[in-house]
Amino acid sequence: MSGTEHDASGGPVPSDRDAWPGPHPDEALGGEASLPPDFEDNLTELIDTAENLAGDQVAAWGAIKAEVERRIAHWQEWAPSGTGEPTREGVEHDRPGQNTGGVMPTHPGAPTQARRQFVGFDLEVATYVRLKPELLSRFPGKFVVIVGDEVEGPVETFREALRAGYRRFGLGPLFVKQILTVEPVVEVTRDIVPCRS
Amino acid sequence: MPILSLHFDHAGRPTLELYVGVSAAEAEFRPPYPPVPVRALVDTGASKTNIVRWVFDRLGLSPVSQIPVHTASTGLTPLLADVYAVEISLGGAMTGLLATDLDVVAAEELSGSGVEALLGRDILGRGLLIYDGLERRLTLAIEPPATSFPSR
Repeated sequence: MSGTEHDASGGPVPSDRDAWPGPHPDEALGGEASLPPDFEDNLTELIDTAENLAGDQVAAWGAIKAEVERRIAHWQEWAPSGTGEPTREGVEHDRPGQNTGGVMPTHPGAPTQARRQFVGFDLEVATYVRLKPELLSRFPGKFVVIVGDEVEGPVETFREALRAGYRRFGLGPLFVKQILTVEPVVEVTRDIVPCRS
Repeated sequence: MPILSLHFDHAGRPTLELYVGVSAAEAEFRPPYPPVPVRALVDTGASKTNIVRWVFDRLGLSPVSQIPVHTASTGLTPLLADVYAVEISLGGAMTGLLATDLDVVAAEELSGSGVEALLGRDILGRGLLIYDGLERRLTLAIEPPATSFPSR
């Protein structure tokens, strides 16, 4: 049926496939077969929550649409060269923050990409140094997560930073920083050998 | 609050068994993985907990930050060390969760000390530590971590 999809139970689900900018996520992800059975229900629940939080359906949908478009743009940015489209095939990149492809998660809430490789924190340190004056003035004491030149946060705690980082960037190295005027230094009175990858 | 009474080891040091596992935050995004048992030295001279690198490798973890570290031999300029996020529990006879999402320092090695971790003041600072040199015993009472998110 044109313009209509079916959920796992066979019921019709409204679709805006024709209006979708670029490839539909279901197509890029390999179709509905790759989605968990309760995906549609959870998605509907999330959208309901967003509408309730915003208190304004139009505003909520604007924010949702903007976030979806931002993610699609980010996703397409890291597509293998020559395809012009995002893909889920495992492709190794040399920059942190990109989707490296992978298999579907076996654990609820797991991101859909393979673990990103650690290539050092030089880029993340540079990003933090560049943004630190503004972050310090606006969010002192809070935490941010940086991958490449992308920043997630600020959030209140280290744990929240980890969760936000894994949710946005997937598993792999994260650069979590608490926004502090004076950078903390660890003291160990023993003669240990610190590990720096 | 778990209260731990430790006898010094053969070298006269306060050591204890710990389990180091995947942080609670990361565990939400990956399949469960068994924690790694390590021997830790209670070390009030370490401001943060240090763990040898192979433990993180075994758990399949990636670093979550870097931090400067002053050691006995770094002089005026600290060295940068990788930071990992882990969950730490007591091992041995007494069990109990010490931290669910603790940022710890990675060490290539711990001066041949025969332990895999230094339990630092980031954990010790949350409780009461009594060092009884005459009885060669150490008593440790640590507040369990507050959980601000639903348990797994």
